[in-house]
Amino acid sequence: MKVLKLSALIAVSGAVLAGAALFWTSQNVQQAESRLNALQTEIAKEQQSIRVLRAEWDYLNTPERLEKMATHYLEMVPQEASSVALDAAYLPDPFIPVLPARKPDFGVKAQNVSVTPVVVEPEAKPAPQLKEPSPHKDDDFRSLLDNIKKGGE
Amino acid sequence: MNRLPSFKRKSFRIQGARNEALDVARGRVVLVSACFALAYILVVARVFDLSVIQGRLYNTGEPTEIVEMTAQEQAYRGDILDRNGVILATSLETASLYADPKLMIEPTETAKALARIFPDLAYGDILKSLQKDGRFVWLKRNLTPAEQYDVLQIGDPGLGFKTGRRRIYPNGDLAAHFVGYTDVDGRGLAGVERSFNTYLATGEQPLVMTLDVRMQHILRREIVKAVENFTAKGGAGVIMDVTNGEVLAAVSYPDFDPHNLDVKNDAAMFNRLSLGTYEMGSTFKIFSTAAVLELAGAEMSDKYDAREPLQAGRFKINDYHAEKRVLTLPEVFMYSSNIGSALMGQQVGTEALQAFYRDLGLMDKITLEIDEVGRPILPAVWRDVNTLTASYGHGIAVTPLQMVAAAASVVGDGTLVKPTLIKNNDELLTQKGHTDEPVIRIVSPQTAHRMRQLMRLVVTDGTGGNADVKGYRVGGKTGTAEKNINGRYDRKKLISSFLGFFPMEAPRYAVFVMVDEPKGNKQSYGYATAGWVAAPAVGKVVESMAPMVGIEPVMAAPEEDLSASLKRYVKTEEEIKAEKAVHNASY
Repeated sequence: MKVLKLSALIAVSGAVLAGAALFWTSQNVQQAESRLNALQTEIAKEQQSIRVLRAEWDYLNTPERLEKMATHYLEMVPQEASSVALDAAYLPDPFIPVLPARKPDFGVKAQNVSVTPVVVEPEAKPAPQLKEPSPHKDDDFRSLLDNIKKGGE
Repeated sequence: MNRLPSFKRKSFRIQGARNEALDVARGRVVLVSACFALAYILVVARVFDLSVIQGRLYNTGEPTEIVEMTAQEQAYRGDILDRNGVILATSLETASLYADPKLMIEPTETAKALARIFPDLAYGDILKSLQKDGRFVWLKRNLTPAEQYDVLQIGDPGLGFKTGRRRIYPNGDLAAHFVGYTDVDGRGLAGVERSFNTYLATGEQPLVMTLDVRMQHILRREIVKAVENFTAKGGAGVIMDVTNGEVLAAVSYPDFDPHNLDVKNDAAMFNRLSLGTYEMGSTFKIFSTAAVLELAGAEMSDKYDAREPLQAGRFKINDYHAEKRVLTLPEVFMYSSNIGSALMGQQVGTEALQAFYRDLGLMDKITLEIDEVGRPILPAVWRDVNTLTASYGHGIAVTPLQMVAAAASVVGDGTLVKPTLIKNNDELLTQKGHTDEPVIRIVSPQTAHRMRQLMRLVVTDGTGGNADVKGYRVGGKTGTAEKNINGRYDRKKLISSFLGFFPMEAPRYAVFVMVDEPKGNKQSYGYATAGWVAAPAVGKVVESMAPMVGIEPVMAAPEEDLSASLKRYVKTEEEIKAEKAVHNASY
């Protein structure tokens, strides 16, 4: 009898274990399913809002609206054929405007710069840092342009 | 030591007659347990199969089941995009607001709040519907997300939403005739919405059109301006890539807002560009001149007598800008002489000219990916007099789009250009009848080059001067046609059009603008002709679009211009005066 009880015990405990495992698995599956559902609803919602946002983006970017905004807020005009330089030689040196921004009397210096041969010094100062834009940036820039013209002549 | 042998026969051994009964019972137990064991083995094998074998083989990372589940929901109708992926049409879920008056707690407060959110609804009307007896009343259809949020903030349990799909056109009326529209159930009723209805209904892939909203806007803006400046009835225009027939912009104006259709407004709903047929007038001289150069072996130095109106049967062919002298071929083209062109048609011959027009696709309905395509109106019987009038674009009515494609065939590389609106894969095109057709040669490269020179001459020295844009070498041809009202040509009712190409040495884009019944204004000195109405509009379009499409401006000296070699066939004013003096002296 004692032997039989032992085998029965093993069988019963095996059954209990299997039952527990089954329960655990089915719980897991249920949880995963509800998570899956939640995720799918979320994905659907996100896709929905992506659709709306894409449509809104293209609605806000309609050329007509952009044109209106650009003429109202920007000091820019459409490009013309005459404003296209086909030869890079005609382009102004992009580095020159940076230097005179610190020294307004540019005319004399510029000539010096162009005459002095460029020497690469290993202990050269770090690249010049741009100043904080001043409130009269536009004026500075225009006077700078004037100076360049005068200097060139 | 005792445990292991517990099931051995020894331990059950009982002697005597009962032994047999026990043997039978044992046999049954073994049989039953064998059955159970087999069942378990089957289950294990199946689990192994599912989890290991199939799991490895079929798990390629794609969650197949999820796709099935989402596909069960009804798919959205496919989007329609422009060539750069800008949405022309899409479907969105929109909420519509209804009320259940029975559940309403504070009808007056709610009505006040709703009236604030929707300025177009009156407080009184809302309150009336909120206090109705029923259990369901619509308040407002298709709310924006912001409006829906505001309504939710009211928090009255008597308010509810129903969601539905709605077709949205973010660019509104921009290309309404060609994108088309749908009914409330999402069935396409016009444009590509209609012709690609089954494709869009599957919703698998977006439909990509050749249109470019930026070009579309530029063209529409200039056409609207021209129509308003000259108080015209309407206008149409197209920008086409000459190299492959792709339509970058297609405008028919007045147009409509696909969200608020007014189907009874015929003028707005009508597609003038591809459905309307018009006698295009002088732009047709492109074809008669190409024919005379290609088929009759004419030279630039050939002369045409335009001193007297041409009598053809009971018709008299007159010149609009009468020069009243003998003109060279380039002069006929640049001054747009009807007499000269009619003589050219005569030179080519009726049959040859008809065949040439047929090759260009001017005699049949063209294939295009929308259903709104007009059939050309031809003379019932083509007599010789029809050859004369068809040479300068009268007595034959075609769709503007058709004519632009035909002209592109003549000035491009000389091969047939077929207009197309869809940029999608080739499968889609073969579905709609665009197969990979062989290249069809219309005119020789030499004729095409001469046509380019002639069209450039029209802009540098002739009637199309207002279309010139510095740096972009525009060429083209003006066309001013009188409208045929009940069989009579009305001098006051014109169709003024300009067909331009640029850059003229190797044309890449065709720009066409047509204005229906323009009236002269102060800036045009009272003129409503093509040179004053349509040519400047084309110039503006070129000016705006050329930097966008990356055409390099070239500032060439006049003597390097494409038309320079034709100048020797064009008499200067002094020469004309001298000639007239000699002429007068001799009589």
